[in-house]
Amino acid sequence: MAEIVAAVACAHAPGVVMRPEPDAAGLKERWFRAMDEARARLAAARPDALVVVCNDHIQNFFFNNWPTFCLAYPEEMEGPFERHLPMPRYQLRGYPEFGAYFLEQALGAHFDLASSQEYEPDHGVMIPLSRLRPEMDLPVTLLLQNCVQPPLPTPRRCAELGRFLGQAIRAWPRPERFALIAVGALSHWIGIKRMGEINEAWDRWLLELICQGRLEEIARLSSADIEREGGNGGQEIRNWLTVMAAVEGHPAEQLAYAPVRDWVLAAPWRTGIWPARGADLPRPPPRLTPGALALQ
Amino acid sequence: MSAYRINKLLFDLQMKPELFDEFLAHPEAVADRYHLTPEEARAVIEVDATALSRLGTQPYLLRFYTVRRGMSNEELIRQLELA
Repeated sequence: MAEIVAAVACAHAPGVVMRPEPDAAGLKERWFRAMDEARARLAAARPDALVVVCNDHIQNFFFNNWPTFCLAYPEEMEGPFERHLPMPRYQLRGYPEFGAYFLEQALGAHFDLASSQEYEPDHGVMIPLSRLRPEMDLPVTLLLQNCVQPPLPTPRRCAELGRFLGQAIRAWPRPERFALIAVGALSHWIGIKRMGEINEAWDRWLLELICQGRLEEIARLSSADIEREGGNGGQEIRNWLTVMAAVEGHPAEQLAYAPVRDWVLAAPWRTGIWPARGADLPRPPPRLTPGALALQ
Repeated sequence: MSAYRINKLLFDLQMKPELFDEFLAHPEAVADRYHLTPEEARAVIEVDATALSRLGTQPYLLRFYTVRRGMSNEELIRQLELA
């Protein structure tokens, strides 16, 4: 009975708020304008609730108890986790009734999700939400997928879960309008060799597949394929794939692809003195990184 | 070799400001509490990203730690190239 009325996939790089100053090529501005457009389209779709497909960055969870998939459905949330990101601290409403429903349906369909009724969303959730729905008025459910600590769920499995997410939303017995937001990616390398690189060719190839709804070609990628072409950071494309599968069959529109090296390099810290100067990079010419994409 | 103990220390340093302060003041004592080997302890205390990477430290935790310790991106990239 419910319906998915909009879906957006976008980057969540801390650099967006840490390094917002314009670059010579105007790439950052391109991304900001695209996010404004996505925000407008999301508003026009009049959503009642949001589901964000995202990943923990080893902040809420550690390896003593590390979920492959986790549905976070608290009553409320506050974020971002990183206290010293230069952005406001927001309160968010959860949607525990929907979360409980989805969890039960998932287990019934043999998706053995972990769950959490307490979660502090990090930059990965809050940066996109702050651009896409700064009102922070809609109830939010988080579907977290392991994208950072191998072994990772297969893209295939993420696509299956995404398809199920779409089905479950459409079977939710309230006449509500859901919007989906996928966050993270595209190619980037964090804390390993090739840090600072971006693989524009791979990014553009993926965006093309997404725009054409060619889900299968992404679902059959292996973690090794992704790592080689997109880095450990690129494993976050699972979030985009999951949302793509939830709206399977729908073409997408690329609003921007803005490769920005500043943005793959900036990293936040949770507490303490803001080490912005120590972690800054002297300016090379801009290269490449994530864009914003609207699926309608 | 599992980097669990290193990762655990880096995670706790991220989560507990008092532990971080204690670690700066008494690094060997804290490393010892986390049962780090001498090699692991040295890598963490000296913020040796090359060694930490070789020891299998989780890349995200490594990255957050170097940011916290004021290492520049340039320097981290240089050290990771050697790993």
